[in-house]
Amino acid sequence: MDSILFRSVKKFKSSILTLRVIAPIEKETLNERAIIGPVLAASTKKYHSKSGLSRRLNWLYGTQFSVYTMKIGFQSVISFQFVYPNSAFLPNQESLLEPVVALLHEIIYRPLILDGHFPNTVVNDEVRLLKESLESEYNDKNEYAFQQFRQTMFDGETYSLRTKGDLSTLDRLSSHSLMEYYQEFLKQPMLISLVGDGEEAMIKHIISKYFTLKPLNDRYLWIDTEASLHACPIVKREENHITQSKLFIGYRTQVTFDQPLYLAMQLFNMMLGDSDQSLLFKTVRERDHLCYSIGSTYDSNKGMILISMGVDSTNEQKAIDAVKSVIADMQAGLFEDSWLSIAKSLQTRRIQQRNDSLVSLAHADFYYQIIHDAPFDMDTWIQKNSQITHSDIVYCANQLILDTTYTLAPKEEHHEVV
Amino acid sequence: MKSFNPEFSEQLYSSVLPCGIRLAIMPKQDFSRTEIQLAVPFGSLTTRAYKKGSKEPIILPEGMAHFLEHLLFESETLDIPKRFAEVGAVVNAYTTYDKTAYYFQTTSDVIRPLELLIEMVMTAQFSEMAMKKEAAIIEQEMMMYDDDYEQQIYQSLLKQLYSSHPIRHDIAGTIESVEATTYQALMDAYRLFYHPENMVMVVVGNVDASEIQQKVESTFQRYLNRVNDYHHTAVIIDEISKKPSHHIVKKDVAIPMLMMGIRLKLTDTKTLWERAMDDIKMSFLLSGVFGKGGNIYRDLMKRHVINDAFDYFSSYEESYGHLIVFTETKKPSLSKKALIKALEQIKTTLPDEKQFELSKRKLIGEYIQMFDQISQLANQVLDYEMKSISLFDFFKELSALTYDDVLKMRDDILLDSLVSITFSN
Repeated sequence: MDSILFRSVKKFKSSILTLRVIAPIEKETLNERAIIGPVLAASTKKYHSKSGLSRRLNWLYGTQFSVYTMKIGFQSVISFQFVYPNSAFLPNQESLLEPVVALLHEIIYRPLILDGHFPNTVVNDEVRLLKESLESEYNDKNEYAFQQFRQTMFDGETYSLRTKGDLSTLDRLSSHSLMEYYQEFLKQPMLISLVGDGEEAMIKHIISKYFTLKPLNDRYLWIDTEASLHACPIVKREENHITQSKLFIGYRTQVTFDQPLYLAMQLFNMMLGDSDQSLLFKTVRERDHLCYSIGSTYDSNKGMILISMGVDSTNEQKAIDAVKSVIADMQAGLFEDSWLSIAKSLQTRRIQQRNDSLVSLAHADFYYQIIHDAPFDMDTWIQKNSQITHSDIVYCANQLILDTTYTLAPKEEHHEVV
Repeated sequence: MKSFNPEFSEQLYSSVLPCGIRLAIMPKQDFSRTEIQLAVPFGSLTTRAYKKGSKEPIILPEGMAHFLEHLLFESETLDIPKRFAEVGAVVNAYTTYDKTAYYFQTTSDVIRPLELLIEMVMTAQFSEMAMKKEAAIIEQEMMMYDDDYEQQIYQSLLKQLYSSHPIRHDIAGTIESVEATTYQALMDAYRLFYHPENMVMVVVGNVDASEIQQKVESTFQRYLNRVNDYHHTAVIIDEISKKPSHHIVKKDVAIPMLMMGIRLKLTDTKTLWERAMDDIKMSFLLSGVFGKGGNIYRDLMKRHVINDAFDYFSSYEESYGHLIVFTETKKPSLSKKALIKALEQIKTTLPDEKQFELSKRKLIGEYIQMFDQISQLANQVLDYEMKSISLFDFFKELSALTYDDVLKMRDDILLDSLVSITFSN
């Protein structure tokens, strides 16, 4: 696979450039991979501090920069991403492509190094920020409940590893150990993609001036196939200082992104809980008035459907029963074809709207390229969507295996001093 | 009126139609998506309204605009969201301090959902039974926000920063205020505000401007038999405290949260345009101090008194104005001292002139990028249109801002009104 991907799109006034660095996801390197990006962006030979980088980005007409690590299947992908305005709309029509590529090069290849390693202050600062960010998840009760759910359902599986980092081992990281990891990082496969304005030959020329990228030939595991099925579904309930119960119900399915039924499963999820026309919304909220928010998400790299909602603690069981009955109806094929056609048209619109967002296109291109070896093609997916039948949905519904029901509930006594 | 911005190749058609509605259309023919928003100037700050020819205000209880927003989706006979879905559109709504906005998004035909949107907003069909049902859902919505500490700390801060201004109240009101709202009161408020002469519609996306204009006018013709009694709304501006106050609230947090606010001076004589301009000037001033490019930000980070959750913003509107800083911190009292000092520095030291130039370049870039996202663009155009401000002209004036214009904003910061709220264990 080519290591420079380019999609020319004329309708936007800005462009998006992403460098991705790929490695297997491993418990031992979670923190290194979480922190190497922020450390590289915190100080370079030219820009010694974050302030310097921030001023440079302001100078480049508010170019937005972000660095994040994500998990796709068994791979860990670190992305360095820039969104910058196109030359046609800037004073003097100056092009920002080369300055942005040069800045990316500065971040990746020219970190500030003192005595053979990253400055201690830089590493310690980033460790502190990551630590506090992980700790403060407890302040966000919904996020905290979700993380507790994940740890419960995926205990012992690779999926439970978090690319954001691991608080329990973060203190082991030092500027020396990170420097060693940086040497590894430089050898890892890299890929640059650009969506937006420009001419392909010129773009490749500019990128090649700064980066020598090898084609991506290795086999990567983009789908997480690990599933430790429990003998019987797990039910866990914990308490916290909250007013409303946060309920998470996780199902497993073997239908994943690389399989023919992927789009049907996506559609099933949409009918189940991913819109205001979904059966969960219509039943649990509109008919039973048990909640304000309810939704379901489908992780197609893992094969998981997650239903989440906030309910009054006295209604937890009622809500769980309502969810189970909606799923049982779908498994029995008890849904109207008009609901299916509404969901199909909604899914078509979501596919179309990918072409309206630079960020979605940048993600979709990479994703479809690595898994299907072809860029995202809107028409193909719309065509596939239109062919999904009632029995495909029933088949998908029957692929669900209930795994974990997790509730974070209010403590009996509710302390609050205002 | 059509205005064209040649630098950005964008067009905005803005006019008041014969039926009374202000309509703004920005065609984006290369995009799949269209978003149409229809707004009324009825938000959570609208607590006193005056009818034409009357000096007695109508008092509107907390959370009424938001309750009405929920209820317009209700009908005894029709499944309103489903009707939108059947014609390929997704409908939703939101209530802010100063407006209620109903909107839909679609990638297919816009005419049918446009008719449905106007019909939904112009024909309240809810029953008293629907009120009970929606009150139960709103109660769950409020409980959800009760567990959202960022929302809670912000609300607690506003309660201390303002003594009587309705900004102190949650947009949704309270469980009690929602339960006490009667069908009659809701219908009275509905009839008062929901008239095309008080409304603004914004259309952004893959549309033909003249077709939309005709359709909006002809559809509203069906609802012109009602009388527009609405005259104006008023907010009583409260006194600004001259004594800083600090509050510590016990919460179950892993890292304490600290939010601080300061009132900004309001001048009665300013136009909406001038206020909107002041809002941007204030954000320039603040970015010189708290922006990542500045020495103060770097120093605060170095001393571990702020972390990546650190944020700051200002709001400058007709009846209220404040600036707010927020951080999570393991050293809340040190952070408080350091941030107070930083706030004082805004007034006592000259901001970095170079940073001002950088902020201006950033603003130009952000303005260009705004045109790439249909929904954000629709929100932006709506905000400006509700104040009768032209997006293009406003930007032109912004690019002419000077360092001295920004410096003048320092006088509006009323340090003595400072309030801090700490959520800690």
